[in-house]
Amino acid sequence: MAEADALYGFAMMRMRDHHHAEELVQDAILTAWRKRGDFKGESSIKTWLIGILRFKILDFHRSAQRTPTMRNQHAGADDDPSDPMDRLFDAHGSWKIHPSAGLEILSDSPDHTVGQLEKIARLNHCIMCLPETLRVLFTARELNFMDLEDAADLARVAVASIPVLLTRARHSLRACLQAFGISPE
Amino acid sequence: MPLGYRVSHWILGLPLKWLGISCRDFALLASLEMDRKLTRAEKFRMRFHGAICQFCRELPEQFNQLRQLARNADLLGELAADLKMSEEAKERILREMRREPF
Repeated sequence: MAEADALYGFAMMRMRDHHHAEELVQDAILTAWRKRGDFKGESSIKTWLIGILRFKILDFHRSAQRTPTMRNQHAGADDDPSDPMDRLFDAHGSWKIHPSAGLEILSDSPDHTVGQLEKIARLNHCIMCLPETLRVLFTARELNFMDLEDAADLARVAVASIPVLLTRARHSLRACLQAFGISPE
Repeated sequence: MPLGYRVSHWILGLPLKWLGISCRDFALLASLEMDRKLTRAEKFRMRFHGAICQFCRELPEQFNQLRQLARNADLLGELAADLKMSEEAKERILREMRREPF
């Protein structure tokens, strides 16, 4: 059952509703249980479970009823109207803070195990700090490789606004990581 | 911020903004180009700014590294690892599993 939390976290990054997340996790675990004979040990059990869950999530999105929900043209406005860019740049569009400060975390070599887990923990925190719409969109496009239409439906935004919204998400994540790097606690 | 940056951007800041080639414009385009094709004008603006401002040059690489880090973490299943599923939901799963025929 230790894996259940990890699976739940995985699903929550991609779903708007924790009930759906729970259902899909349950579905994935039961499927794995039924098909345990298929597991040959080529990967860890967790990786295998996540693979099954990933598939279930994609399936869920594909077959979900596409009710014509009101797409928020000014998406993200309901979550958090402030633009992260406003905090990073002055009135002339120049940096208020050195663009490279505190971001060694991104360029450090990936072979140091402890460093790697810490990096991920920080990124994790930063992703969870994103407003919901941006988090769902970032996950959908960057991690799930969902196509634009599906990602737009999931996040309930206009397709055309996706690049701008992803930009906001990326800059928020970057600024969050930078803050960590500058004053780690 | 280094003095050199402050001085040059104090002088150049407003003109750069008018021309659409401020650091902020560059930072915006550096991310947009990851999701769509930039127009020729946008590409030129990016190149121009990159040529005159050394501070911003690392930005595209930072965004790529961020993307890689996120994807690697995702593959490991390590993101959102601290969220906990409710006990009731876990109970439900155990109950369903016990009902399964061996």
